[in-house]
Amino acid sequence: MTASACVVLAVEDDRNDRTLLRHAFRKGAAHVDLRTAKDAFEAEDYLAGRGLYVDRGAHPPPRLVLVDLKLPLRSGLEFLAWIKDQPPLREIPIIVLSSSQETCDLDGAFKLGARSYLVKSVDLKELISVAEGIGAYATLLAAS
Amino acid sequence: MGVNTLLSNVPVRLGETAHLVQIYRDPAVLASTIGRYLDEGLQRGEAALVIARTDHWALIRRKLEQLRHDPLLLEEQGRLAFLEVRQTLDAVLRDGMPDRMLFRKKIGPAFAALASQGHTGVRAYGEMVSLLWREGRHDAALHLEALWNELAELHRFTLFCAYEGDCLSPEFHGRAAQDIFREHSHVLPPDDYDRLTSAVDGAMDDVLGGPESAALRPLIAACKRRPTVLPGAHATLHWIQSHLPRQMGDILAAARQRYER
Repeated sequence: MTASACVVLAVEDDRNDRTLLRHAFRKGAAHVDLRTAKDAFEAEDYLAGRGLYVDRGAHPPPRLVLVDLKLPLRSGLEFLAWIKDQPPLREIPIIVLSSSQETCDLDGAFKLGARSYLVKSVDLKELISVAEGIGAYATLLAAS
Repeated sequence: MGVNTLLSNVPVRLGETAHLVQIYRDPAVLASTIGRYLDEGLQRGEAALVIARTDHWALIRRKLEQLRHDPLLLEEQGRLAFLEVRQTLDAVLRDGMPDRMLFRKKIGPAFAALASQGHTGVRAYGEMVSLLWREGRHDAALHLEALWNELAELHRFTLFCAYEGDCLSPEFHGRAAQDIFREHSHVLPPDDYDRLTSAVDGAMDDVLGGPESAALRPLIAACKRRPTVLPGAHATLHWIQSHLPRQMGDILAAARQRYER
């Protein structure tokens, strides 16, 4: 799967958090084309190019994925395990963005291949700073 | 954070242990660090066990003397013990790998002897893993680190491991080194840590670009990590290795150039 320059997929069930993320990326990394999925199943469809996401022109593969761990239906850890089992997808960097600071979540995420683990901040400035960093990271991935 | 600050944070409460690691190039600097590490323990009523090369032991003894200790008297009092590293390593290996039973048979009595004197704890310093690492026996070094962690569940002690080498060498940023670091509670920075930090920061600017580096730094700082405490420059390099592995070689080379300027 060839990733598009600066597409980032965020898997986040909370509508307010999705809105905050979009705002943070507009402010801190406007070059990032942020796509969102409200649960793991929708994210899997997006990544696999299935269902509503068959058209790769309209729904380009992401350069990296941001994922919350506390998701309905299928948890973020289960989503990570699914990605790990998909050879074409497992090279996509996954960054966990979660409110959980529990050791089991942290260890579980790294064991399942997450590259980074960030704790969600309610401070908009911090969220914008994270968006800036992710934007820079996506740019560097695209260039390498 | 400098070495002294980290050393002063080494836990001393009953039941607590720490497993420290440092990469060193200059034996004299290492001896100074180990001398201070042992000195802090001795001042707190702890005993000390050193497993080292004899030339390193001579430097450490000198440092302890500078810190107003009498190593000979401490040895006679049962508060300080020395084991030569090669002989000790040979005694714990079976078919080239550290063996749990041999390890406990060799190291356990040394701890038991120190503990029987009623000291508040033991500070250990060891170079066996460094010998294995230098010989390219990374699996054996990792296994020995795990055996030390097992032993720490039987005897209460703080352990300081030193690996000879260059902390900007790729060998300390690959999978094997990361596995080794994960066996430790703290990775200690080198003595000239500010220079290392500055070199790594500058190398990121050189290779990734100033604005990109500036944007990445808060992201790197915000990343939660597994239990091992890494100093900032090591954490940055660890992040680069796991997130931008293709740029890692260039960043290490640029950092090396800046570090040696």
